[in-house]
Amino acid sequence: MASKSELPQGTLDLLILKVAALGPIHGYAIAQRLQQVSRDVVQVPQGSLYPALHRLENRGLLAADWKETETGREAKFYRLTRKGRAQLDNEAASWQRLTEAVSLILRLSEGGAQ
Amino acid sequence: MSWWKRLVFRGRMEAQLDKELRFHIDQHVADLVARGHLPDDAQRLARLALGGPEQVKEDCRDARGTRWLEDLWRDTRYALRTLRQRPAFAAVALLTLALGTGAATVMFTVIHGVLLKPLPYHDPGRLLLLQERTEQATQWGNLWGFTYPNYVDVKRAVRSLAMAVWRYDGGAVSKPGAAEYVDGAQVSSELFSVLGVKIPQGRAFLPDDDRPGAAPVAIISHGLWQRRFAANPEAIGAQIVFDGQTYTVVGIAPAGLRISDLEFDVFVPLGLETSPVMQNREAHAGFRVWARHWPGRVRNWPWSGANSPRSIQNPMPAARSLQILCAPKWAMWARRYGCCWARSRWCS
Repeated sequence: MASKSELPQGTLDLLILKVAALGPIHGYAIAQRLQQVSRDVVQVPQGSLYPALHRLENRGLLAADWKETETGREAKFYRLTRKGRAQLDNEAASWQRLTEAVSLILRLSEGGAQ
Repeated sequence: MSWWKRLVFRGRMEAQLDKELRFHIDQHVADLVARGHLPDDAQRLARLALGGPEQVKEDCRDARGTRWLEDLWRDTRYALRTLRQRPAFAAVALLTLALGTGAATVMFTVIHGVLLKPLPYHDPGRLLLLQERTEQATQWGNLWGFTYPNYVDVKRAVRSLAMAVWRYDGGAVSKPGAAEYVDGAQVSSELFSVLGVKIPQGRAFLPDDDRPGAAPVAIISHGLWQRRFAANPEAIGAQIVFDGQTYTVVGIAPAGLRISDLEFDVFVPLGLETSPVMQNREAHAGFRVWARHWPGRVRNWPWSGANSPRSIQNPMPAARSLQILCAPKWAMWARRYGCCWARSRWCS
């Protein structure tokens, strides 16, 4: 089994926005979804999930409503706002640029830099 | 949700936060049990995964953005509680604060009055106080009001200034009504125009009133007009006796007019004065010379060209080395507090 990696700084917000973009979802489901999609490679610290959610709500990137789940319990469902959508597109693009740049550098063959 | 709503509904937000986290743990426990964990085990694992709930709550409160206000409120209440428990300390602290605030207020009041507050006259930035400086200093220093002959010479020589002179002249008003000591002033006819004060009823002094032998006229204060004439417009032209001399009232000064921070009740023309002091170049008899410089001249510096101080040396052969001090407007106020620290510029 591959060892789990820490999330790079600042990427948790991006991941949350991405997951919330798929439809209203509560905190526990976000944690589950992240865990599943990242195939257990990324450790999502549950303790920082909720502060991040509240911060995003605070900044108007997420909105929240209390709704019933399938099991009949009330849960706080988060959804992406228009502002959150813009932020997501923005950050996703910049993440793309960053990873491409980093992998370009990592692909440099040694001794080839002459 | 705006920040003040978050603050007002703090209790509800706390309850919701609690509910949200409880939901998370319960859901996690249910999943773990479904995967075959014992309920107690599952409970423990779920809590471990989330971390300490109190810590998570704290972090969430921090994320809310109103944390500082909530903390401030809590700190305030804590401080008040502590103060109530230690009344002696509280009293000393309060006293210290009160004295400090009082002292700061006094300081500011003085600074405001002396330096910041403009003189209550039209365009006060162009008003100047003129003084003589003598070579010898006495215990009162070497700055003086003008002697009258020097004033006359300087006024004739300096064209760039509108100058006026006045001096205090208290006395008894004995008619109409009972005798009453009042503050009075002998003023040159230009004083009101130099200050930009308009006489609302009657007229200001004319140059013709302001010479020896002229018919004695007076301008009375708004207050005296009300006290002695019951604010009757017919006061103009009436007679008053001031310091044993009968004057015809020609004008009423505007209400609240203050000169050198005094509310004078009677103004009479200085030119009527015939005592030897008017001819004495050696004695400083309390004359104050105020001036207004014309706009458009060198900024803050009325002297230029033919009006340079050198050219006014000659008209005053008998004067000791005379220098004229042009103090900025607020020096007039500084006098009121007996301060002589006013920064000045010399015209030497």
